[in-house]
Amino acid sequence: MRSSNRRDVLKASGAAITTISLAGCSGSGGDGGDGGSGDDGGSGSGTAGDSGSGSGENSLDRVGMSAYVRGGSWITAYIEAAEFYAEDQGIELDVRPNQQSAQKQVSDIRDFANGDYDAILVGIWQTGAAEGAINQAIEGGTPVFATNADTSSSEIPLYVGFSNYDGGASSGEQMLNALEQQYPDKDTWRVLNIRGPQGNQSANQRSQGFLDVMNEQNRVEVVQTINGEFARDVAQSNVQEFIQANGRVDGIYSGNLSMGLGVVGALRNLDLLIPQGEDSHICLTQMDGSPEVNPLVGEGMIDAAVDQPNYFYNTIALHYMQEYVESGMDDSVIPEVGTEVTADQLNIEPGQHKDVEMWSEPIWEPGVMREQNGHPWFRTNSVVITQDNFDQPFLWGNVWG
Amino acid sequence: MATDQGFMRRTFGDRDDVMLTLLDNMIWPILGLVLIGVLVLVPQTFNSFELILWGAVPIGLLVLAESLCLLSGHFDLSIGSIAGFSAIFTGMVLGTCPSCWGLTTNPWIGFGIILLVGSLIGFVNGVMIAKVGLNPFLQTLAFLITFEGAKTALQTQPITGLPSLYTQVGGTPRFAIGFMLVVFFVVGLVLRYTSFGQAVYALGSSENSAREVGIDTERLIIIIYTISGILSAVAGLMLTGFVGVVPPLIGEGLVFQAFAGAVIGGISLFGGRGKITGALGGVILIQVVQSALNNSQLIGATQIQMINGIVLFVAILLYSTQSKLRSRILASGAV
Repeated sequence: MRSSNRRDVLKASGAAITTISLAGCSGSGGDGGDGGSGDDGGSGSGTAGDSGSGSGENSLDRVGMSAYVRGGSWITAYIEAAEFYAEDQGIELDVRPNQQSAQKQVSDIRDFANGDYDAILVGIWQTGAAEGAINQAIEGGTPVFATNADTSSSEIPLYVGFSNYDGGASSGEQMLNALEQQYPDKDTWRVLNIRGPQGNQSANQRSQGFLDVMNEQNRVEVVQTINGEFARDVAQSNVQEFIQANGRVDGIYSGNLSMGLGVVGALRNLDLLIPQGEDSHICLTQMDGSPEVNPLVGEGMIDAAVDQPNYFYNTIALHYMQEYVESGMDDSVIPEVGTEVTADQLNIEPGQHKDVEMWSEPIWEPGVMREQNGHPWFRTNSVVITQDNFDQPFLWGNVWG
Repeated sequence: MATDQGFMRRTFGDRDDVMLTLLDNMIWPILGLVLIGVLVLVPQTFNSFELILWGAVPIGLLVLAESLCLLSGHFDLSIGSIAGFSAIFTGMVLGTCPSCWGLTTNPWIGFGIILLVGSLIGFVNGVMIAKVGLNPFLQTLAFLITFEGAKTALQTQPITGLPSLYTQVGGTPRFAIGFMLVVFFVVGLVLRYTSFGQAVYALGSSENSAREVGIDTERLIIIIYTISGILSAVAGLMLTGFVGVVPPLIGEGLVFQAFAGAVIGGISLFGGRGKITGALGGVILIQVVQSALNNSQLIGATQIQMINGIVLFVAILLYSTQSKLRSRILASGAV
């Protein structure tokens, strides 16, 4: 009898694992802008109510935002900046965690759409999952803007985010610069690529961008691509084992900041963490700075980090959202695809937050308007953190420490 | 003739014993074969054997925690969450990061707190299951969700500035590996040679029978879950030392690896059967395979998870075959 009961419990495990996922504990399945683990941001989603039921006619008073809220300082900066800007503009921003679940996100979008919200701000957890709910909200008169991770819906007025592929490529270019300076006489540079989870869109694009730049060079041999799962401990463990087994390499690229810090830990454990310019320095480039990464760049341990203007994503989206709603949903307020946007055309008013003049430095510029998934994409620029600028107050890692 | 029959019985009886022993320790020949395969195909893997074992320490302790529960016929889905929450909570007390509480920098108080937190959560798990009668699966699932969420509620950024002694425990490879081996050894001895250990196996085989022979099953279940909580907290301490900080998502996704390690090591999902040494073998097997795949030039990063799944599947198949063979041998012996 007892044994039979246990078997019943085992059979129930499938349903229970589904429950875990629904409750947001699976930690997988997302393909948000920054993955979903470690210290990086992920994605969020949200919905807004019928504009007709909002607080005011043609005014942006209340916005619903569903966001990925776990995972570290990156996502904290991404969300808090939205809250600061909304507060400055007198907009009530209702942030709801998506709990790493596309279903929860869809539910929140529908909830916002049926509630008293003027618009919705979303960071998509799974590219295609929320498309139906987003389209329904828009059909009902509630505009939906996306940031950080894009939706497959062609109906949204705007998506704001940087290009993961370009970020990976930029990291590749920084790697080449660092290798040229560190090992100018070597015929072949041996390089490791540490990527995020397979199937994750951001991880794929960041890895591919880097590899495409590397593959154009005859002097580079990418000795291995290792899956670091966007996690610090996994990257540390895999990299230190690889180097111990196969010998040192000349350069290592990491697809997010958690894995980058894991690589630093691995080199430290192997007594290979040496500043640039000194013998045997291993060149390190990675995606994203952070409160921990920026000082390591300053010390010369990390050669370069390609940073996102994450605290501008929702700010830019809210700026255009406000114009869009106040103009009666006129598409012409959104810059045309194919144009370039500079700070002269987009003026984000700075505000005093966290002891700095936030948004005073337009590190997002130039923004390039592209089309993606049938809707406009405001592709922000990225910032390359080096020893020249690692301590600047416009880097989010120096503000959200 | 009679002498011949006695000889045959003795001979076949001995052969059955050998077969049963072999089946009960199947992980070791499997591990031996895998090691030979790795030695031939990816020999450089062994250059980093110490690092492989170091990386195995946190998951090894979680496998031990899960194995204890499984042997008693129960589940604990919350071990990863307990490891993570204990580490985050203690990190908040000890850390010097801006959002940390920073109540003390004494590492010994930290050791006490992390063990206390883990044991308390495990104790509550045990009480809810044994006294209140909640299903172990659902109770520990609830705590998995609760304490993963509680981590986020406490902190969303990496916790830094921990006392060096606190991180050195898990950050010193040989100490961490030695500690894990000692813990496995002690738990193995306790389960094999003490009345507590026999009671755990008896509980896993049949709770009713265990109760009828005088075992206080409720008390035993509470003790088992409390020990599981303590082992999980120690895993959190080791993980903290391994990384050097407390990452915000520490401990997540480890419960399934812990199940895999226990199953590959021959711990029965239905309770009452399996050896702790086998679980240790399962942990080593998983880590060696993972490291070999990372080192192999022939296997791409995108293929590793699939191969890990195949390894688990093969282990389950072998386990299933083992169970059938064992039943057949025992049945033939009974006749």
